[in-house]
Amino acid sequence: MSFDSSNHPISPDLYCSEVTSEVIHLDSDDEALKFNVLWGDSDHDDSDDESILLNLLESEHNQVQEQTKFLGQQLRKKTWLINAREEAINWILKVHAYYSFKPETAYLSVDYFNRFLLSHTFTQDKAWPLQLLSVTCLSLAAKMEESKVPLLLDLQVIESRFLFKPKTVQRMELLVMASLKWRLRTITPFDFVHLFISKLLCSASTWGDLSYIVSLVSDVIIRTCLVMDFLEFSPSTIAAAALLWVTNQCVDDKKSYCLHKNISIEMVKKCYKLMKQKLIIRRSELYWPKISQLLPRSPTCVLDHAAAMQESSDAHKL
Amino acid sequence: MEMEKTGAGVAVLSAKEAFEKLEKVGEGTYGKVYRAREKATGKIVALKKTRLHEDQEGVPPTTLREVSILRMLSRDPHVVRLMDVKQGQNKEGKTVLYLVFEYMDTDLKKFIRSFRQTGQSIPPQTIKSLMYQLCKGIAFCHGHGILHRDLKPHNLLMDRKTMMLKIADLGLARAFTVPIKKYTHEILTLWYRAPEVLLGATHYSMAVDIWSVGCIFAELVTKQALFAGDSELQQLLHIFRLLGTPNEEVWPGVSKLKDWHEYPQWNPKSLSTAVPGLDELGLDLLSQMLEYEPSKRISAKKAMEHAYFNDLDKGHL
Repeated sequence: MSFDSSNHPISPDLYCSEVTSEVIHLDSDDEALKFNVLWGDSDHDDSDDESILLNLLESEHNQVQEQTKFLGQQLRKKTWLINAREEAINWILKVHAYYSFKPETAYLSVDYFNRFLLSHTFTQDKAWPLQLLSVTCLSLAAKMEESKVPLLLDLQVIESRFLFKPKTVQRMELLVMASLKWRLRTITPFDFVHLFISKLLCSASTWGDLSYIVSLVSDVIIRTCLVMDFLEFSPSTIAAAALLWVTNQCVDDKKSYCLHKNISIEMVKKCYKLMKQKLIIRRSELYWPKISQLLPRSPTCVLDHAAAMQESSDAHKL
Repeated sequence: MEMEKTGAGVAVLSAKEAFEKLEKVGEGTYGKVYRAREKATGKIVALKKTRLHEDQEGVPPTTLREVSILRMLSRDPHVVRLMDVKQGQNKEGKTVLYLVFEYMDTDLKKFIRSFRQTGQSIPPQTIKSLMYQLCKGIAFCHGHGILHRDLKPHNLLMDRKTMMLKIADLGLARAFTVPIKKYTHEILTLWYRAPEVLLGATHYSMAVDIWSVGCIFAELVTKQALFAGDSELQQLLHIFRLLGTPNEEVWPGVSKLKDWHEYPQWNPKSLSTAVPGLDELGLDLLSQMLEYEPSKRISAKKAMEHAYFNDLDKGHL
């Protein structure tokens, strides 16, 4: 399957050529097969999708959404914590990219991080508690979502000022989970993306297009994690706005209603506007997962792995 | 640690202090299961004990998934209810976790075995009621984006008095917002495993659970496992002998699956030869659950609407 930009509804001009070449890799047969399995034949049952969407929205409503709104207010009172939080999330996203984790893993890591901040106070003078929290939340999310989870020490190979023993991370895991009441399976924007795509684009898409769109939407969703202002929006709103933004749609009543009647048009518009304001200047900060990246098996393999990456990088430049 | 917990701390009884273990009732996927009494209330519960790994890689993924998924699903009457999670320490001072479940006095495996021993058949209306509850519970899981992936009679808990059935052991369960890659290191019981899994499909769908439901359905009728292979190859051959060896005509794409080989060519037999005693409507439902092509397998929700269940009193289910 080849990528033909002249026929594609979304212009790749917005991205540098390196990113474009990586995007093309996503149009592999495996991705096409993946989406074929996802959607089955073209006669997939709309009522089943509708039922799943309704269940998701119900679960989302039951989720403690109110609390993350409160976190936004709480953070604004502490400038140092805003900066520290953003630094911690940046670290999570770098490790996420390094290991080519799924987008859901990144989002869940930040979700756990945010929810833990709600119920605990941190003092400014020490940096290691937030770092330990970052490692722990990433570990929990990876265990929930990834088929291969790196060792706890290996998770800390990137730019870590502190190195925590597995025993320490384990104790922190138990503390975080008790704090979150063991509710780690939370509704995320990714739960909605495919359902919204099937509503918005079903008649116009090929499998390759879907893969491309999902990747872009996922990237936008991940980058909302860095911006505190997005905390006030529900996952379904973020998913809807991200999809509309990526597909360069104007947000009007007709489009929003096509997604679901339970989704607030006003909130989607507000979220969309915030995406334009906040995310457009950050397009250069892509955390694009690298293709076919090997995982180091133990700390002693890290240097070999780094050397291999260097060679690979040099080869790419030639 | 500099972190302070907001609000006053509350002393919490350790698991040992809170519960009196009465007897060990089983071994779960990753630990022992006890019948126990909660001292404060006298209530009988099931304690599932999970010891954290020696290698100290933190809480096992299966425990995280099971707990968080059960927290999400336990409002359905056909999913076993997780009441609490408690930390404790074992004799060597290692941290253990206790999952506190509502107690169910038997499971479908024991239930079927009890009928096999007496030589009696399970009454048809009982089979119908249990199957309806199973479809309803699975429809609820799938409706919330959760695959079970290890459905078998042992994981279906029952209350003998009320004949209520509940789905348990969701340690392998996964969300399927996107197709889930195969976990070769995780166990999936052979007898109830879908053919696409056996043939190395790397992407699962809800259909893998429906196949398992179909195998359980047949087993309720005959009291014997429908496909009782002792290796992956034997499991496939058992399936092919009854349903016919699949080809591109009946299952487009089958020959491209990773573990596909040349197999002996069998023609399909009638399901009634393998499941004598099931009526026409039941056989029709079963055949739709055992469709080779995953996308054509009936969904749990549609199964609930099948005519086989028309004469079932669903009011209390």
